[in-house]
Amino acid sequence: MLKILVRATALVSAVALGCASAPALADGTASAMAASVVPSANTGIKNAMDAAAQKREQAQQERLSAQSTTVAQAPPVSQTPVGGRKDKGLPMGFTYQADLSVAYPYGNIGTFGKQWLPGGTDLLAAWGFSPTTRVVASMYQIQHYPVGFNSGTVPVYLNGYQNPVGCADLSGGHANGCSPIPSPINVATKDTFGVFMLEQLIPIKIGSRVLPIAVTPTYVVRNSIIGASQNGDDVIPFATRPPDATIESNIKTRSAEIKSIAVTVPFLKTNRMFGTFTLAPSWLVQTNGLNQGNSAQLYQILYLEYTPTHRTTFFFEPQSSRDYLPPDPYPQHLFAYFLGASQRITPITFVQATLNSGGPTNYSPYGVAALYCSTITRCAPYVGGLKATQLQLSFGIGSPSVIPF
Amino acid sequence: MKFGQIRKPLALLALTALAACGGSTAPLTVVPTSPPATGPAILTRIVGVGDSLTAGYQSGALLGAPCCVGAGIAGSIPNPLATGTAAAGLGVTPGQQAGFWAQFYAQATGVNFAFMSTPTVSPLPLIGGPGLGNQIVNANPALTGGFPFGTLPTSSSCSPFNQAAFTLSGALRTVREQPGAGTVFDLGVPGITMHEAITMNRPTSPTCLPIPGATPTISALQAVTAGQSSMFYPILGNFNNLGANNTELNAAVSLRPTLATVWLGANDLLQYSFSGGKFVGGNNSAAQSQADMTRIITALQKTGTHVIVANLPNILIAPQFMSVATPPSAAACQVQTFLVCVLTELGLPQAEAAAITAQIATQYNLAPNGYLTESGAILAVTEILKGQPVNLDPAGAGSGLGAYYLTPAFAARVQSLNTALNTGIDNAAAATHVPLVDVTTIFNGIASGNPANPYFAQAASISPGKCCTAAFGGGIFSFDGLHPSNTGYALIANAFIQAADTAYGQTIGPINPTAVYNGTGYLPYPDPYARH
Repeated sequence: MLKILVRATALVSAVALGCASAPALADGTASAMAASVVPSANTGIKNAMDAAAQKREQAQQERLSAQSTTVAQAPPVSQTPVGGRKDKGLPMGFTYQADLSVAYPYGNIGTFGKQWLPGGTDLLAAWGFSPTTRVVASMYQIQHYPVGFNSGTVPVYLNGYQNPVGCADLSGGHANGCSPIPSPINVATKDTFGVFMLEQLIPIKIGSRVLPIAVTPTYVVRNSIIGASQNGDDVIPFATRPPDATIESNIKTRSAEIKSIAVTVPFLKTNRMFGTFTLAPSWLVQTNGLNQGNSAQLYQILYLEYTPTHRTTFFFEPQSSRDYLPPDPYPQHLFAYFLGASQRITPITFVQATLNSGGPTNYSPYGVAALYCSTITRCAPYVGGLKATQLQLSFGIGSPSVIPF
Repeated sequence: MKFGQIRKPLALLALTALAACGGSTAPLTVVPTSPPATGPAILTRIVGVGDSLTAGYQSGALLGAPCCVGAGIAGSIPNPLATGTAAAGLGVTPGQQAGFWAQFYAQATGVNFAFMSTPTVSPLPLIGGPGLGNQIVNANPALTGGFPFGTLPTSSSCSPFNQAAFTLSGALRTVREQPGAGTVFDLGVPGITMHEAITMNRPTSPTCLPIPGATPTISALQAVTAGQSSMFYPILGNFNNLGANNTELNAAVSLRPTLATVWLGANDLLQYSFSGGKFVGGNNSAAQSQADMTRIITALQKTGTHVIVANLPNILIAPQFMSVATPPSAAACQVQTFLVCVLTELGLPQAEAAAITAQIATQYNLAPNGYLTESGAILAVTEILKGQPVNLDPAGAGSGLGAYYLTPAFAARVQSLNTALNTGIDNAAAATHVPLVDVTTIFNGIASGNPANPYFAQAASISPGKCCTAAFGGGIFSFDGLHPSNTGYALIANAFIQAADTAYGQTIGPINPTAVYNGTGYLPYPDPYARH
């Protein structure tokens, strides 16, 4: 009578899942800020510190010239966006940057997403009113395919039952006696971030020196497209926590708007090395879905770079953030890092390779954690944490920056 | 009338119940509770929270209207059990009014059968004919593979009548006799699990028809949830204004009962058993069942409701499960269900019955104390009568486990789950200080065959030599081997009455089970499932 009930349940669930990809619970809005706020602030801070250093060196040269001694001055290591004028702080006038990128996902993500993903286009345009004030509008597009979304086996829950009634093999096989899902899950996700910033460089005098810090009120508009969405958007069914979950099917799962105030402080500056730390308390512009609370979330971004030549930069950028998307009942504590190198090919072109990886520490397991069926024909994934690892290649003009995953 | 067709009915439609009997004057195991003697006031609004046992399910169907007089299945015969009684020649008798909750309600409030059968005032969600499910009726054994009953052809498990129950409008307008009644207090949903009573707010399966494109395995899942899916709207449709909160528990709470009976958990056990252990979705630990039962009780208590809880019988003593063991004595055949005894009663010579039993036990590794289900026995007998080899694994080796047979090892797992669920229920009752009707003890007593046991003694005294015992055909159970007969339900009702009287200071007084058996009390017709 019920001889393959367990497999049946999984199969039924998978039918519905096949038409509805899994939403990623979080994927680092902080990363978009890291790619926009931090590089821009860094540029201003470096320029200001270089200018200050130049000023000190000039004074020293003047003093030493009387002693007939010369010291070679290393060229500034910073790479600035094209255009504008090199100044004592933030670039003045009009600056811009553009690049195209592709990404390759790593990790146990299954078969569907194991391919190069067209990352998209990044654009930045800015106008500097003075060395301390600049407005920036930028757009970042990124694609990613998270770990755990179509690999492995997951339990299947049915409304009204405390325990799983079956299991499904998300990779399409028959592992552990589970039913294969009938079609791959396309959760390849393309995020487009619009970032609008008002940068303010504030010099703080510490003794005889000046420490420039950047304060950047920021507004982030995020729009996403998830591969399996039937409507070319990110409205896909998802389940709240089993076993008594409900299926949400009309919520934009990743689109959100965030306002933030970022403060970037330098802590390292030598001829070849540079480092800053950015703190950015952020708030949702409006609550949506499950994220009905709106307390401040804190983004923390550390940036370290090494510039062996004036054309080459290696960088490492770890970050800790609190991300809060509509399917999140509570914020995800994301830890991620970016490790990469950029090479300027011509004065206005560059290529950049970035390895990035990250995931939440308070959501487990990663990816699709279960399938939940409110009826035997209406199922949706319950999603745990989002983890992604990928290699990204960017080609562009202007200055490269860390591109988020 | 093919008994192959009642495999599902017996295994799924009849999934739920089994319970008790006992009633009587025998002392009950009742957990003392809150201060007694709130007086008759607590009987003003009695609500039933439960499954098919509370709903009054019998013989594979839920039926509140007299049905099918003179019809029955092709080749049906007058009820041989009712020969010489007022029930002779009757068609299908309604079961809802005979359920334990209905008898409890009638006894507590003093209403009669006519009141309980009148759609405009009845507290029962009365179901029209031919009933929800697939009614099992008396029939010609020659046409039913040797068994004296078969399914009513006008009530196939996916007839238009049954299909209508999956939608709200169909359930209220087509299935229910009183679509708009606001008097419904019996909220028992046949097939529902303990956790579903808390969370299920609409049918889990949209249809009893095959889902387009569905594989046979999907159909199997449909089968598991078909019972509660088809029964949900007919019972709880009037509470649909609760929207997503229209669960059985919330519906009960919304009625603000003065007294509520809570009897759940049988389907958690039976779905596991009939699926051969493949279905493990129900409550499967003492902790889980305690948590769910506590949640149910406390939700009711918050509205000031006085609650009575019942635990589960050991289901393996129900005649649905026919032991392949050799009965220790001829008398044992009268009190418990042994396959060899059933085959003998069906007319097989003793030696042949024993040989067939031994052969089946060997073939499916059932020795020494495994079971055939009633469906398995029907299938086996049908195949034997057709001269075919017995095949209880129609879909391959092991496929019949649970549905047709229980190996000793699997039976032990079923028993273990049964015990765990009862531990949880008992603990919940104790922790919330509500009286517990110990159905386990009552049924164990009836099945003991021990004249000194008060439960056995009372059941056996209803009609000495004829009724009643827990054996197949013993009069405690209806044809599906799980749900009680009228008399069986009366004994259960008495157990609840005693709990109300003892724990809450009521003076309801017991139902006379002999009157129920004879049809001379609240129920105006003799018990069609007991020998007379």
